[in-house]
Amino acid sequence: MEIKMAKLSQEELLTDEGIRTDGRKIDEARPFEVEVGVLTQADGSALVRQGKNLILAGVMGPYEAERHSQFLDRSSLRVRYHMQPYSTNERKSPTYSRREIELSRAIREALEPAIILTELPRTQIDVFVEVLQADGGTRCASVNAASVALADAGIPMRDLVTAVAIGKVRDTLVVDINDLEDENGQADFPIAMMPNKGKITLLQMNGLLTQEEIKRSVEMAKRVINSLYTVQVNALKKKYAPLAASNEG
Amino acid sequence: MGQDYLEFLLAKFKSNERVDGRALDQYRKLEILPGVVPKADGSAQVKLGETQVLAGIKITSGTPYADTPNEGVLTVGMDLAPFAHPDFQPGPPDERGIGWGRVVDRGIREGKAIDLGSLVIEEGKKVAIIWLDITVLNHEGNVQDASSVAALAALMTAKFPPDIAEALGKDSVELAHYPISVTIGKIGDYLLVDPSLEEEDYLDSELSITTLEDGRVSSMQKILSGALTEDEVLRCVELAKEKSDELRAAVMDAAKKYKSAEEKKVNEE
Repeated sequence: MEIKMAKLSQEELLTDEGIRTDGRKIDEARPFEVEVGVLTQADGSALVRQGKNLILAGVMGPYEAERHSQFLDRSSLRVRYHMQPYSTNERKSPTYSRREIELSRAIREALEPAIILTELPRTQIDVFVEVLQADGGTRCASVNAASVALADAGIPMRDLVTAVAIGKVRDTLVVDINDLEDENGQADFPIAMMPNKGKITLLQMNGLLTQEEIKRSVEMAKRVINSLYTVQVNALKKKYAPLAASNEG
Repeated sequence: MGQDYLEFLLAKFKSNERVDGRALDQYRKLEILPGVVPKADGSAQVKLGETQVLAGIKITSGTPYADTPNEGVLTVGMDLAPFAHPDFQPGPPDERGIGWGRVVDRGIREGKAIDLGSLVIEEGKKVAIIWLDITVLNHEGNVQDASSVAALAALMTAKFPPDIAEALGKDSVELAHYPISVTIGKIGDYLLVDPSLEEEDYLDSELSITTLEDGRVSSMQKILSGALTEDEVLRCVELAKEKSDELRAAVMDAAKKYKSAEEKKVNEE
């Protein structure tokens, strides 16, 4: 995708006082909001706002898989990440891109370890992610939306999956990068974890980092992930706690 | 099984009542939220009952079509999010989705809602291109009218990107007319506006009529395998005129509120 934004220097990305383009400190995540069950046709859904990202995930299933794609011992998981043409600074062509295929796979493999697929043999679960507005770290925001939507659909899971991208600007590690930092920075390092299991399920990196920086990035990511996870859980509780408390249904 | 339910529906219609409590000529609750996608040059989310659509606009500059060198370009796209209905598949829209987009497109284009001549930057060489993309997020019936409302609300609140605004000498897309589609379903001998998804299963035919604020009709589209009498068509046109006034007023109101809130924000900054 062609981005026609002015190139920013490293000094513009991080001031001497340690302030980033959107006014955040280096270890400060963007505002994060989750709404559960926003759709009626999907079996589970979640709307996530992470910075300016606006991402809607819907889960269809589990339903009986077609014969040819059926596994006798487990469910098959399909994930499709898709960006709307109006979601980016430059209009995105509606044609499905290689980037969308790559991200769909990364998101699927980030979610898969958390889903107890063997509990649902012969079925299929579809996770559809629509990026309505993109702001850097869309794959992480997509994972955050998708894992909540899966829980909302009642899919058996070991844990939620929570993700954040660490970046490097002006030789400094920063958390939860926005699109300016993504495009002009020195590294983009998205990480997803099952917070309760302490296991990493998505790991990609573009850029240059030292071993020491990788170690610190993971530590920084873990702190952010734990706080995002609380927001995810609270959003689910908001929908389900009243149902759990009532004697009906 | 379907037959019993059909008889149940018809018995209700006889007393001007529908399963969800509406009268035959009554729309579901309409919510219009302009500006939900700030990165777009214009956007609006619309909820019509539980049906949800999102219209987003991007405006770029490019070369005009060879046969219309002195006109800007409007392109309407339709995308059915696969979570919006179990029948929707990922990928390009099917004939139903294409049909919804076409009706929105024709309503705007044929109604000359946008003066395409006002989008010329350099005659024959450079014009503004308005990309209007509609995403169906949740299909609970009458995606057609929800899309038409979203398209109009997004257009009414759209702003040109700075470089195009400068070249054209204006900030926003000026609309000459305000097209609104009204969809009327026929079940038995009854005509009902804004069919719900449940009702759609029982429709003999469906007619979408796009009307301008002056009462002229800018597009009509009959779909499904049933037939309509002449009298029914005329009644539908009458009904469309009346109902489009209601919907149009709601769009105008939402756009006005949004714009004054935006102005306030700019003044505060």
